Amino acid sequence: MMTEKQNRDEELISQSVQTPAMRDGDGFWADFKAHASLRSQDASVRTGPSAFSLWASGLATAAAVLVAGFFILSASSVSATQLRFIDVKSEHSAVMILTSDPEAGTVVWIEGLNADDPNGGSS
Amino acid sequence: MKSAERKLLEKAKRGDMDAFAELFEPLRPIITAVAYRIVGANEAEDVTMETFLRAWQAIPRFRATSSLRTWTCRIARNCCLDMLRKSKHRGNLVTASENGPDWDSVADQKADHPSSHIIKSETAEAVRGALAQLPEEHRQVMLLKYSDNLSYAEIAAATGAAIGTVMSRLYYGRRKMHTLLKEAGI
Repeated sequence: MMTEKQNRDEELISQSVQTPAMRDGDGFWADFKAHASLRSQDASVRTGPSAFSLWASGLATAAAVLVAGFFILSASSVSATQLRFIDVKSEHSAVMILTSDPEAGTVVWIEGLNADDPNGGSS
Repeated sequence: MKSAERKLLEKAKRGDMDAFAELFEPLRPIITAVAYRIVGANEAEDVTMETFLRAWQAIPRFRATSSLRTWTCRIARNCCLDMLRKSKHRGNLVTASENGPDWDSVADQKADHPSSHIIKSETAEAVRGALAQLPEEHRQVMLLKYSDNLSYAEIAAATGAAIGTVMSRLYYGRRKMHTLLKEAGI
């Protein structure tokens, strides 16, 4: 019953109140184009980095700083660290560390690497 | 959003004014209505134009997190507020709220008017009288809803109120209207 009365009231409003008159569309949009040509559109954010990618790169940078910080702290906290040098008298072109276990490591050195040689030279 | 509208949107984002006009023409009645209800008849057309010009500038950043209608209503509200600030600064502020709804001047504009079914009777007079007695914020949402057919979200965007507030204003507005119309014997 109340809903019926409400509906009637709403209908009365729509019938008693004019919606505002409008200009004709052609005239309005012609004016619009004249004004809009004097204003530049904002640059699209789609061409630049998105808010998410900015956030992700910021997070990645923060994580990298944290990891590096922990690494530096843990390395500097080992007071008994010793550096040992082993001289290997062998001509070489490159050195690679293959494994780096706490007890031992494996180092490979390559001799006679010739970049110009399509076969990669000898090792 | 329909695929045709999406295509128009993409074109408008790339600077196609014809596509923009085609996309936004269906929104012109509601933007005109919002402007009319907030700043009044005198400034409504300027505010409507300014709304679409700002929408044109900002359309490349439109990301469809809300509907295009709601997004444009929000721009219209900002334009209305700017207009009210300017008018206040100039000292000639005549808003819809201060001036009261401009029933008569609008009713005279019969040509190409969408609501030609308007009733001119004692009942209509009583309804307009009751509306005029409502607090401004209640009258505004009542007109935007029942005369201009905006959705709750669009009214919220246009008035800057939360959707819950809009619903509450409509509820109290309807109740008050009902009482006033009853008192008037309608």
